Amino acid sequence: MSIDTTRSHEESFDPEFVEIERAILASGQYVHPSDDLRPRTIEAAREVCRDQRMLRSAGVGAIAALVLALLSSPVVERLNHRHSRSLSPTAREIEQQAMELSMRAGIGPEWALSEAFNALRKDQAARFGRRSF
Amino acid sequence: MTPSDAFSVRVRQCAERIAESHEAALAGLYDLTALRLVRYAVTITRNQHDAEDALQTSLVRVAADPNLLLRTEKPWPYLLRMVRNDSLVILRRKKRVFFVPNLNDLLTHCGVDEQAQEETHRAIWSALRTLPIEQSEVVVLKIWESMTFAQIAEVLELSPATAASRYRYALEKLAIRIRAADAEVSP
Repeated sequence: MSIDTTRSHEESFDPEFVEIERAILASGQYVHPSDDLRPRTIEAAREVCRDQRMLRSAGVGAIAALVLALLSSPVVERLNHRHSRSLSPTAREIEQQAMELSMRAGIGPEWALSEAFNALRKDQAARFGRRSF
Repeated sequence: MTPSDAFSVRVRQCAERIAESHEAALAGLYDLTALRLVRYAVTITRNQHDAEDALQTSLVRVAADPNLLLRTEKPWPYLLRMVRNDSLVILRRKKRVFFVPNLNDLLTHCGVDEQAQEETHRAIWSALRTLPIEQSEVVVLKIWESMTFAQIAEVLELSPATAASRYRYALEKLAIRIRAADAEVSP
């Protein structure tokens, strides 16, 4: 037997089934959902969507914090570097100062280096004193 | 356009509203589909409570992601398939399926003008419950959802010929059982 698979329910295989199909069709509304299913479903959907939104905003916050940390780390590093440089001069800077003093005052470089260290010590002591009090 | 396709258009409109207004618009989809989905799920779970759980699970998923329905070409068969899958998951979770010969677990409603028909309705629903799930769901989709065998085949992921033969077997059995029930009522 060949079957036409595109037939709708009005077309039955057999006339004997027409009546039964009609009876089944008529009983389609006999079973219905319970009254509390509607509010239950909407409330459950609300909860799931709320959780989803919270999760999404937490994720966005975490990404924003990460991006901020990544962007600010070079700036912080540079500031730290500048700060440490301003507190104590490098050996090359002290040497430079000694050379300048030697030429300006007409003294030997060893003596000029000693004077430069003395000046540095005085400067550090003054700074330390300012901070302590 | 078949009735199923026309209904798909309405389901899509509801899904679009959910996408715009989020879960607040779920009520529209519920009102449009709940009765149809519950009666379909009941034929799979054989139990109204489980059928409603399956329906709730599916609709909550749609509320969380309306694109599930918007992405598909035919949202109504897709929603039916979602409910079917959720019903089968619930069924699998239960170790054993108890056959309930009566309709006590079902929430039934009969209009004042349909009181005379109630016995027939009960006989039909009872007879449907005695069918194997794969046959009863074809009957539901064919008669109550006005689907063609090609459309049923799409929902159930089988060939249209298989859907047609299941329908025929189901109707043969239903005809015998309903006639027997009628004979009991009016000897």
